[in-house]
Amino acid sequence: MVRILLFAQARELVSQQAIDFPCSDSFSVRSLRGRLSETYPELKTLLATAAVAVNEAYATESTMIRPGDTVAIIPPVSGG
Amino acid sequence: MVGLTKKAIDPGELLKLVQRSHCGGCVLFVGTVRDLTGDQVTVSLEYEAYGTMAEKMMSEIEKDVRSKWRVGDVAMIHRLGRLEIGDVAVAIAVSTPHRADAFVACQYAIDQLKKLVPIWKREHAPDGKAEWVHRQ
Repeated sequence: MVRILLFAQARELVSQQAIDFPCSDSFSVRSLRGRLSETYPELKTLLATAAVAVNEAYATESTMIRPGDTVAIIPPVSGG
Repeated sequence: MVGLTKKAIDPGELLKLVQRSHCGGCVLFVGTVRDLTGDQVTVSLEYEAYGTMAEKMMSEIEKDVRSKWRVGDVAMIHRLGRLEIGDVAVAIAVSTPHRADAFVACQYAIDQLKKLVPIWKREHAPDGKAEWVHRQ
């Protein structure tokens, strides 16, 4: 299982602070976007512009996510 | 030093923190909440962060600044929670031996913060509507 943290509009769209995503094997960030969009179609548009962090570091599309990792959906940031 | 806070930021304190005897220049950037963005009026806003990662990224920006310029010290602080117009949202202070580097380094730090740190703002409009700001 992988815990997916949601922030800002992502959290509002799904009305959850986090999603516990079942998985038994590693999978890529690219694959995560696809799977999340299928399971949560309301997230699809936001996912297209959001970054993904794995264990508190920005990931690329080919970064592998392992069971037990903490993932976060990072919509375009607006701090500062 | 870097951090997030829910309390009001005192920019003067940041200036004191970075002063060093060998540094002749110190630049302080203060970002405040403004009431107008284009045509959009804001009456207040909230900041939310992915706290642990935000602090990590701010530390990395500090390291990055130190690797690019000979700084005396760097201090960066961002406020979270609800802020009113005019409140200080973020402050960055950089001290360097000579002033040119302090200006460039401080600008670099705030530019990087705005690009990389997982903090988001939600603006409240006069009609009561509130929107997360997610510009690309």
